Amino acid sequence: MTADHSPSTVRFTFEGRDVEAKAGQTLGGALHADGVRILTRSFKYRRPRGYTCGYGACGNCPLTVDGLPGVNACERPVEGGEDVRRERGWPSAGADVFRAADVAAPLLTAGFQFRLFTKTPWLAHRAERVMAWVAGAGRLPAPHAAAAVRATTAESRDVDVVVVGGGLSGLAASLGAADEGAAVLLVHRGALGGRALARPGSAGVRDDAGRSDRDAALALARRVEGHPGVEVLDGTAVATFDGVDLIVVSQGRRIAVTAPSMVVATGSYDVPMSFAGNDKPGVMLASAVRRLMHVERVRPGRRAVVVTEDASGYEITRELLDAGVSVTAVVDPDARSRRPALAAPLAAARVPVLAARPEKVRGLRGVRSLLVRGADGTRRLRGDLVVVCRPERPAEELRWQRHYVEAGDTQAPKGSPTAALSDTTVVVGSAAGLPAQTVQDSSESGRRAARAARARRHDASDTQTP
Amino acid sequence: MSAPGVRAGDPGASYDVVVIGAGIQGLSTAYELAKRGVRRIAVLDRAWPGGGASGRNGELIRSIFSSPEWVGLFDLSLRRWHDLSAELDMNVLFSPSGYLVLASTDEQWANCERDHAYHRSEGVDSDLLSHADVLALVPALNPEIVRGGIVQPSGGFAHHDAVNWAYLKAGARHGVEVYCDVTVTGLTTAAGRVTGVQTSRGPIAAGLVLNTAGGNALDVNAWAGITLPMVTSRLEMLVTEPLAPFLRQGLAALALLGYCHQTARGEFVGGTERHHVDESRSQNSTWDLLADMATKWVSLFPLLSGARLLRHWAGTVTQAADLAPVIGSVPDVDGFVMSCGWVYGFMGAPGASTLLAEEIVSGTPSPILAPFSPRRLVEGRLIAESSLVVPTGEDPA
Repeated sequence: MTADHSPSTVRFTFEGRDVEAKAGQTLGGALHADGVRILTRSFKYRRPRGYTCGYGACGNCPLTVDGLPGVNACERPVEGGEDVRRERGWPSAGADVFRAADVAAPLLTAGFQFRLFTKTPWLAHRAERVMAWVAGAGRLPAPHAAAAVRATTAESRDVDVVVVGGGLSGLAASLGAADEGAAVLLVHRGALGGRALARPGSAGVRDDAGRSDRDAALALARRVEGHPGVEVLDGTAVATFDGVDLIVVSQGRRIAVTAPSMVVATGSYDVPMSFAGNDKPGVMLASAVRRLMHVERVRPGRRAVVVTEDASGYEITRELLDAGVSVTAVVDPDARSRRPALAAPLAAARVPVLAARPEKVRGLRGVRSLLVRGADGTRRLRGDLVVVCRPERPAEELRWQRHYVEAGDTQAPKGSPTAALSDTTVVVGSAAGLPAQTVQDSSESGRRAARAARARRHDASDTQTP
Repeated sequence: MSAPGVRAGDPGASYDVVVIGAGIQGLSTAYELAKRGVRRIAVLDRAWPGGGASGRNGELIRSIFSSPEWVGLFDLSLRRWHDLSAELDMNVLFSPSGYLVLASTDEQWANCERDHAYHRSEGVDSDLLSHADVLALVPALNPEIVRGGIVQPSGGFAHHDAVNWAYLKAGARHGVEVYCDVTVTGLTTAAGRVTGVQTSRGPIAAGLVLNTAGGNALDVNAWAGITLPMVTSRLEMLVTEPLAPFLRQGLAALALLGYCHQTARGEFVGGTERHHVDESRSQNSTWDLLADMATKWVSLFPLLSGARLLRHWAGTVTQAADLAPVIGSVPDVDGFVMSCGWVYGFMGAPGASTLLAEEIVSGTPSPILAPFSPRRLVEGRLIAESSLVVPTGEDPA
């Protein structure tokens, strides 16, 4: 699978309405292009939620697709002909009468249920039923959708090295391991390249040939697809367990993978920022905005306010301007300590950089403006898009799981999991908290994993032979 | 870790009672002791309150067992559950929605009839249900797995984290000191008496040491020189994403070795056991049991087919061969009391802690606790209880 968008279009049905998508687009991208901003509602206060992270991590875009609930819109490619519906809200997620719960929010603070009705057990029990009725948004799959899930087949695979994540680092590690002679299984969901596909403007940061992350990833993806030592599995890595190195779910197949070595190339998460209304549709994390612009080919908004805690917000601002989005301002609490070279190109485009902090989003069903507070007081910045840029957090679930499985105890000693991992688990790229790790570094890590796998197999055959 | 009721800093050098393990047994017993006027109580935990089985269990509550021993203890506990929110001044989300023991075979059905007759004679709340009655109560059940059952309308389930926190805070109000990140590494003894504990923060003298260490209780017993025929084993559970309500009751399905309920939020929570005791101290969950659990629950509730899992986890318990708790002291080891071997510890804690605290304060043995004494294991007198979800050792597959 590649990120190419052919000009042809496909169509699907969204709550009874016909919607067009470009081939290769996801439901999230197509619905955004169609102007749909509210994708679901929050569980308790029924606050509107929309496209936020772009990579299936935030839980703000689950839709019911052909009767199967909980499908992340941002990651589900449109194939054509789907029946797509939103899940929460009555009469619909677009206009939910239980939104009134948010008005009563001061009475319903976190843990309110533990303080109510302690002296009147029968009333507590009744209240629980009411809460269950209001909150009980969960849906079961339609029978035909459930039947499709039940039809999943079980398989098992035995390889030398399993690489989890086919972004820039995972691709490089797969090639490194395969060049070392290992049989490699690369598990990746969606188009090879991952978030690198949404970074067309980062020339020379990680690739010593001076290519952008996207071009480097596309080149590596072509090599991976042509390499006899690497098998690519388009699926979701579920977890590692006692006795099974990795469970993968892939289009109707459930695969138990045995591999002496694992390369964890799971990337990183964007981190939200704390301000009032930071959950409103139109407040997006940096990777989501980049995905909409560079992969989905959708304009993320008409007018943006970029809030940043590092240099990335300045880069995104230039990309937004190139994509035809006007930018009201860049809001950077540390603006005065940034290198002048960052802000200079923005000055030329008449985008002011404000030393301020975001305080509150205005707007009922989405973003209308952002209030920010600086040394000279509060300002109101107009826009329908707030872009949040911060240093990323490693996606380290899998490496912690490996750590605990290897330790045999979830109460293993605290400390850095990477330091405690054996040589048959290698963490690469931003999953290791190393965003500037080069392609060459990741490739070398892959080679190391292959050698460790060989040593492990050698040890195992020694112990089997008397 | 800082949490309401958990003390910062180091524990003191000496206490009247030191409780090892801030799970529901330790926290509830400390609270009951403090309520009865015992001062200077410290509860020590190597991790966090309720971090072991107390925060990993199935949350179910019943007293419809088959033996006088179990019914005596758990019926008292059930009555305590009904008053617990009011007494601890926190809604522990105890939900008396009923507890259904599901019989799938003729033998299990015969046991239900016998148990029901016993419950009636003892005044225990229980109703006998035919195949049709069970399906009328829980229409989502697969009729092929239903032979009949017993339901206890006053049984149900509660929110385990809420209960742990409620005991923690109520204890703190009575002066109980709870310390986390304190690992007990041994006991100090003198002349056949336990006189204190050794910890990662130094030694602490104690008039009485209480072993409520859950999955680690056998280590503590060993430090006291006590070896009982018990093992540490691993249990696992799963929870789905929230689903439309289909199950009001707590449920034990004997044929599946399973127990489950659905929370107010809509999550289906269920655990099933292996056909053999999984002797392990690991809290890592396993793939084969996850697959087995999912298959069983879909077979019992066909509408779960295609539902998505939210989490899957493991916890450890210590257990005797009869799965009954081991509560009390042993001869020749003074200053040391255990409340361990709990497999049904969540539902049993409010009752057992009340009786144990009374026994410690008054010095008079409780007739309800007496059958659960460690002595029964030494003398090989196991409690015969047929209404448990228990590994049989026979794998039908």
